[in-house]
Amino acid sequence: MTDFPHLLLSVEDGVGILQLHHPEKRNALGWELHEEIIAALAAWAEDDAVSCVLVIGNEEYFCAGWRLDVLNESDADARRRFTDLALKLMKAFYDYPKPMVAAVAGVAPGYGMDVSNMCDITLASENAHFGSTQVKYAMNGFYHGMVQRLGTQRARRLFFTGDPIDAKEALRVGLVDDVVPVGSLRATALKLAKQIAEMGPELAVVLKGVALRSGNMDHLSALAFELSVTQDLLQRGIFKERIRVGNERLKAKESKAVERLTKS
Amino acid sequence: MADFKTLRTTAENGVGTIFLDRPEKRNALSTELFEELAEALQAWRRDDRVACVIVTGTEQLFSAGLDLETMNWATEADRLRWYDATYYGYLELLEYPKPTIAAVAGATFGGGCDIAVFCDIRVSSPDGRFGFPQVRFGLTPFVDPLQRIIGQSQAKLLVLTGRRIDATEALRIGLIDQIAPEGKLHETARGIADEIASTGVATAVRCTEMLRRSSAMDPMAAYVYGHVQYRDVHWNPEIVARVSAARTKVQTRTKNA
Repeated sequence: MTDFPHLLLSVEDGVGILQLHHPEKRNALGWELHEEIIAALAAWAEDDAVSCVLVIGNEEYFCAGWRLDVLNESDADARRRFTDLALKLMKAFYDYPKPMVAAVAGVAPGYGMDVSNMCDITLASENAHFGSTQVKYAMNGFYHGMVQRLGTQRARRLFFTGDPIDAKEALRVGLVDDVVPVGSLRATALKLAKQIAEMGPELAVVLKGVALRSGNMDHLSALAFELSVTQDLLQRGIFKERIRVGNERLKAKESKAVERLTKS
Repeated sequence: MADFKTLRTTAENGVGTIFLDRPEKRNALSTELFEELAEALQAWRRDDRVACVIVTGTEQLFSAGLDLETMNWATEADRLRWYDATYYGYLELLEYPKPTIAAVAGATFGGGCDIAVFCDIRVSSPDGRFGFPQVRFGLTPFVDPLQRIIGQSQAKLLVLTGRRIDATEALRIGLIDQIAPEGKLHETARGIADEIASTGVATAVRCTEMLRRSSAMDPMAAYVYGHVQYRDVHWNPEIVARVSAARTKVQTRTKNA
């Protein structure tokens, strides 16, 4: 097992909590953080104790982006190895086999925002800001991640200007799914991640597979694909068990959905 | 290198070779074989000693296909393990960063034919036979990337009938790229692998990635992506050095001529 001096890793009720922890650099992604994150995600991908991953910093900041000092000080060869490493990290996020929640506080510039966009769901603290700041340094932000969540106009505006938007605006345009009061980010995000993890690792992998692939199919292919998934699931032990429990709960007039609706 | 039960592996001069090795089962595909195949490939992903991988059996036989014993699952856990093994086994080939060559002979049926199809390049001995007879039991083969390789019509013919074809027909429809002389399957595959490996790991990886991603893009996007790659290699100091070495060599030759 690799050492993770720049991460705080824990597993709680099916949620792998990957907390970025490199305060000297405000969690900017340098060589070490890249390697550690990639290794941690790879291990959890195959660990049945983890059904959902929560990627988080602290209540003040998430990730300050790519390590500009590394880019600035390296020679051409090291920069190339560094971009190769970034590609590896982004692949690990963008095609991860289990659901991922990002919880963003503070300013998430450039790569910081990009990484959050590659997760399935992003929650933001009221103090969060997002911007595709790479353009200021004559680099390119990750457009695909933005356009997946935003309309093309807003995606291009962010991509071309690099100007930041605050959490409220990010919520309005769909860059994040919820905004929570400062200081409550970890608790809220962990609660959501645990609700996702309730489905367990087997189903989590199947449903994430659907979410990753279906959107890239035409509508009739997607129907055929998704119904094949249904057929597959109907044969499985987890379905037989959960349909039995679910039926009993319904008969007893118990429903998690109703409980959660009335609570929120 | 891990000790495998269903495979043997070698790695030399830039070429990694995986020999399917279940002689008593005619290399039928088991859970363990798929798991070991994925493991062997994974180990070479970032190993700079390997630029290109050959997946093969013997000079006589590649794989008779699915091991029917495997499908006799004792528990649901065994069944799910088989699904994981096949899913990640084929996926490893499909998304493998380095070029893969299937060198096949004799029976190359069902899942064995799928493995060959998931490789980048296919070479066969003259007695190679191909097909997806499992469709006769109602089991589905992978239709993609098969149909990208041989075209929709030939793919339909093979998949819908489950018929078996010989190496000559396979070559004609593009299911295989070359027929090796009898008894020289491994040597021929090795020749191709050596050519690929001589371009270097970085180049082999880059070209593999380009070939794979471009087919999922529209033509204009693929063109722009191709040109970005072309510009990018010109910035690469290692490649610049190779080009200038070649230039010096040509100049010296011209001067001496």
